[in-house]
Amino acid sequence: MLADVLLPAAVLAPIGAALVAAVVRGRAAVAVGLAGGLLSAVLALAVTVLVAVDGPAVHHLAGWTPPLGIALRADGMAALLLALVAIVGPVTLTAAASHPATYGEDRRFWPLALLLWAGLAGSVLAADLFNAYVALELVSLSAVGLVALGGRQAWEPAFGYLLLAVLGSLLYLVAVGAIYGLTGTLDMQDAGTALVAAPAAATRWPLALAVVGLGIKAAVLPLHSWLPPAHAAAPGAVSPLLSALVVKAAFVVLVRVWFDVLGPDPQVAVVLAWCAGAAVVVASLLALVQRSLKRVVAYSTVAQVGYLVLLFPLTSATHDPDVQRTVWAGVLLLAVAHGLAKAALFLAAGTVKLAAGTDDLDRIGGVLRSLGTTSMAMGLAAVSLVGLPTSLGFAGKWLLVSGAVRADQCWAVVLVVSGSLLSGAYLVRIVVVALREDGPDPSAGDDDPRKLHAALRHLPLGLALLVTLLGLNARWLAELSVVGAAVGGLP
Amino acid sequence: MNDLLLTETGWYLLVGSVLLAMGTVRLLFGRDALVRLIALNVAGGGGLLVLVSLAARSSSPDPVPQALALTGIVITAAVTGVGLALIRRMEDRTPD
Repeated sequence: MLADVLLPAAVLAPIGAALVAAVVRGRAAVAVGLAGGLLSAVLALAVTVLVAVDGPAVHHLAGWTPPLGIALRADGMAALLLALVAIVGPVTLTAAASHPATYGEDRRFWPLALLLWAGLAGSVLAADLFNAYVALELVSLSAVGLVALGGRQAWEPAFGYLLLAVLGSLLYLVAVGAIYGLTGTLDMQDAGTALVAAPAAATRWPLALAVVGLGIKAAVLPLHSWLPPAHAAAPGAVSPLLSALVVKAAFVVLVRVWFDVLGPDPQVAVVLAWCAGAAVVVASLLALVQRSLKRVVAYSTVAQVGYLVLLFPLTSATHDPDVQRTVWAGVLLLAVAHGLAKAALFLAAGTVKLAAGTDDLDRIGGVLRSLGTTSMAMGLAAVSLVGLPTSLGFAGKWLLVSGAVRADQCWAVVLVVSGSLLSGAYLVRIVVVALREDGPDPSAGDDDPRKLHAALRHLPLGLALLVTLLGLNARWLAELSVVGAAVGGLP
Repeated sequence: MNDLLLTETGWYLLVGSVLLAMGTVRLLFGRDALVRLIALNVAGGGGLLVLVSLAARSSSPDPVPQALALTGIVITAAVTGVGLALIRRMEDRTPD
C-alpha cells in the first residue's frame, strides 16, 4: 500500500535530513538542508495527491494497531496543510540558501528548520492525542531555536515564546490525561466514540484546558502576547515559517480535539466567538499603530488567526451538515491562503529589512521603491489577506460568510467585512510608505538592494502570484478540505 | 466531588492542580527570567502529578498515564536546558 510508505516517510524524511544536516559542516549543511527540504516536499505533496485521489489514508506504525500502536491519519485537512508546508518550506529554504544573512549565517538553521518540518508533518498527521503533543513540542522547541538565531535582540522574545509555548503544551497534556481518564484510550477517533454519550459537564474542563493550551500556541487573542515580538525578532527566513506554518499546527490539533474527541461545546464556543471577534478587531487596530514593518505583519497574523477561530462558534450554531461543511472549507481555505500570503509578506519584509538595514516604516520608503518585485509581492499578498477577488483569501472569506449567513450568524458577516476593511487599512499603510517621495535614499542601508540574490527578490512574488491565482481553483481545494472531515455527521 | 477529595487520589489531584495553578501564575507575572523558568518547572511538576494520580485511580496502577508523565519529564528537562542556555546568553551583557 502506498499510504504505508508515504505517511511515515512524510514525517521521518525531514527528521533524517535534520540529523544529517546537524553533523555536516560548511556548504554541505546548506546542500543537505535544501535536498532534505525538496525530498520532504515531494513526499508531502504525494500524501496530498493520495488523499485527493483515494480519500483518507491511515497507517499503523510497525503494524501495531491502536490502542497499543501509533497511527498516522491523513484526511483532507492534513492533506491541505501538508501541501502548504510543501510549498512554503522549499521556497523559504531556497531564499535562505541564496542569502545566508536571512538566517543569521548560522548553519544550525538547517537542522532546526528540518526538525520543525518533521514536527509540522507529525502534528497534522497524528491520529492520537499524545503523538500530537510530542509533535507540537518538537515544533515549539525548534521554532524557539530558530527565533534565537536572530541574535541578541531575539533572545528575550525567544525565551518568552519558549515559556508560553511549553505552558500551552503542558495544559494540553493535562487535558490529554483527563481524556484518557474518561475513555481509556489515546486514539482520537476511539476516544471520540467513547465520549459520544458523555455529559457536557464531564468533557467541558478537559476541553477548556485543551482550548487554552492550544490557544496559546496558536496565538488566539488574548493569548497572543508572545507572537509579535518573537515573529518580528526572528531572522528573515524564519518569520515566514513561523507565521505561515507553526501557528497552523496547533490550530489543526485544536480542530481535531474539538470535532473528533471532546465534541462541540456551545458554551466554550461562545467564549471562542468573543476571542475571534477581539482578535480580528483588536489585533488589526494594533497592526495599524506599529512602527516597524515586521511587527505590522506579525499583528496581522494574530488578526488572521481570529478568522480561523470562527470555525468553532459557526459550526456550533447550526445543525445543517451542509452549512457546517461550507464553514469548514472556508476556514481551511483561509488557513492555506494566509499561509501562502503571509510567507510571501514576511519573506518580502525580510528582504526589505536586509536591504535597508532596518524595517522602520519611516525609513524603508526608498528601498521599497528600488525593490520593485518585492513591493509587488507585498501588494499581491495584501490582496489575498484583505480578500479581494481571484485570490484564495477571497474564496475562503466568501465560503465563510455564506456559511455564516445560512447559519443566521450575521455578527460573523459584520466581523469578516470590518476585519477586511481594517486589514486593508494597515496593509495600505505599507503601500503609502513605498509611494511617498520623501523617504531617505536607498543607499543609506547596509546592502545595495540590487546586489541581493535574484532568488530573494523573486521568490516572494512567486508565492504571492500563486495565492492570487489559486482562488480560481478554489473549488478543488474546498472539496479536498472536507475529505474525511468530522463535520456534517460522520464521514 | 467531596467524596473524591477524601480519597488519596483526590488529594494528589488537588495538590497537582494547585501546583499547576501556582506555577502558571508565577510564570505569567514573574519578572526575573530564572524565576519564570523555575515556575514553569513547578507547573510542569503539578501537571505530571495530575497525570500520575489519574493513573492510580484503580487498584493496579495504569501504565499509560505513567508513560505520558515519563515523556513529559523528558520534554520538561529538554525545555529547561534550552531555557537555561537562553538565560545565560541574555545575562551575558558583554558588549559586542
